Amino acid sequence: MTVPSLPDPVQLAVPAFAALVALEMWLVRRRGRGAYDWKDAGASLTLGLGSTVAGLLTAGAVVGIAYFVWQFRLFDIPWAWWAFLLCFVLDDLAYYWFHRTAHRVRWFWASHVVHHSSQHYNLTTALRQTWTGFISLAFIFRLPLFLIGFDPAMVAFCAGLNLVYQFWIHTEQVGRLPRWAEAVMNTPSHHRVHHATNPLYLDRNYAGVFIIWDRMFGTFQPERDDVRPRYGIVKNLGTLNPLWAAVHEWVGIARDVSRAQSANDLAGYIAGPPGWRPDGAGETSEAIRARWEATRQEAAERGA
Amino acid sequence: MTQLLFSMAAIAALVALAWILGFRSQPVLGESDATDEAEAMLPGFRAQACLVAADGRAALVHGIDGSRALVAPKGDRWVVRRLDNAAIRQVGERELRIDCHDTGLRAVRFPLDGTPPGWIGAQTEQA
Repeated sequence: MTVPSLPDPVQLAVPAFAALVALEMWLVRRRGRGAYDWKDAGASLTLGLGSTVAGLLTAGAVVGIAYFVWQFRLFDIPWAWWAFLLCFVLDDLAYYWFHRTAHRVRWFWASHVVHHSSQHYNLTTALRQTWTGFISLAFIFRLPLFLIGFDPAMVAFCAGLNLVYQFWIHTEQVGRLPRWAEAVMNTPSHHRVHHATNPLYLDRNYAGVFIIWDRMFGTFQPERDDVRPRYGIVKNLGTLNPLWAAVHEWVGIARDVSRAQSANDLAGYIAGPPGWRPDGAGETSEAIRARWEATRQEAAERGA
Repeated sequence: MTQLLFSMAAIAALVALAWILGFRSQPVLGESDATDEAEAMLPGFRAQACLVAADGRAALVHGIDGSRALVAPKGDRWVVRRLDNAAIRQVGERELRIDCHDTGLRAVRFPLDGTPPGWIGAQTEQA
């Protein structure tokens, strides 16, 4: 079977990314909606460039692992249009589970937190990507696709398209899309919720392209007009330094692991949810949400 | 290598554009902004008093549980930290220095308008 040579969608889209960032800056200035900070934008773009370099350095290993796993495939999936379509949808499902895990398991979060570490939500935030994706083993979530029988080149192409789609949803310039789009697709509105730290919005809307996964697996939260998203992370970084943004959670893991008193502590610090503490007093998203619910209920009872 | 240099030039151009368009504001805080910020960012924290720095670029917030929080600037945004007992030191009559024990947010200068309220609990730093 001849393997077609596929372009890298991300590389092709880079000039458009730059043009759209410039356009968005102009729109923010003109409309007064959304926000930019020159240092924050610089940090995001630097992290994006660093991520590309890190990706190139580890690409050989990832491709090698992918083709090694592909040897044990269940089916020989041909290079047909329907195979691309199926691959795109299944890759998006794999992305949903990767993304959900990246928020719920600290080892994966240590790498993904970079993307959430800006307190702004604009197109440069989309480019704010990890330098340590290979270390956190993010690629393992795509291994099932190779085992099913999708050629790694096809998966890489679909993953690139997925990433390109996700670029434009990192904006406050687009309000809500038509109902059908909000029902099926991940949109700027849904993804603003995902980047917010408000207790109502925390750890919701993990979708890449299709929001249906969140609706199916119970993690969907629509944006509410009365709850304005506060962007960033639960404990926002005290600096705009991109190097610290790239490594701070790994440093945190190392610090906590060095203090672990038992195997259970060790497991919790590495594989527990972000914010986990052995005494149960950690600021995990569940704890934050529960405290917020309790405060809300208390206020409602006082008002009744 | 050419591609890397081109990417770096594009980043510099976009950052310069952001600067030219004026995205370099340094907002100042009012008391209600500071308490809102602290209550929103610290789960369970409820403010009862607030001291805003003389330049409006930081605030200390006193919680009803007796704890204290710092609202410190980061670009055009704010970061909030709970403070332990030894974190606030008075340096001369017109300044506090606040140590957050936090990478990137170490010693925060806090200029004063007058004598700080008692709940600040600042320790005096020897010259």
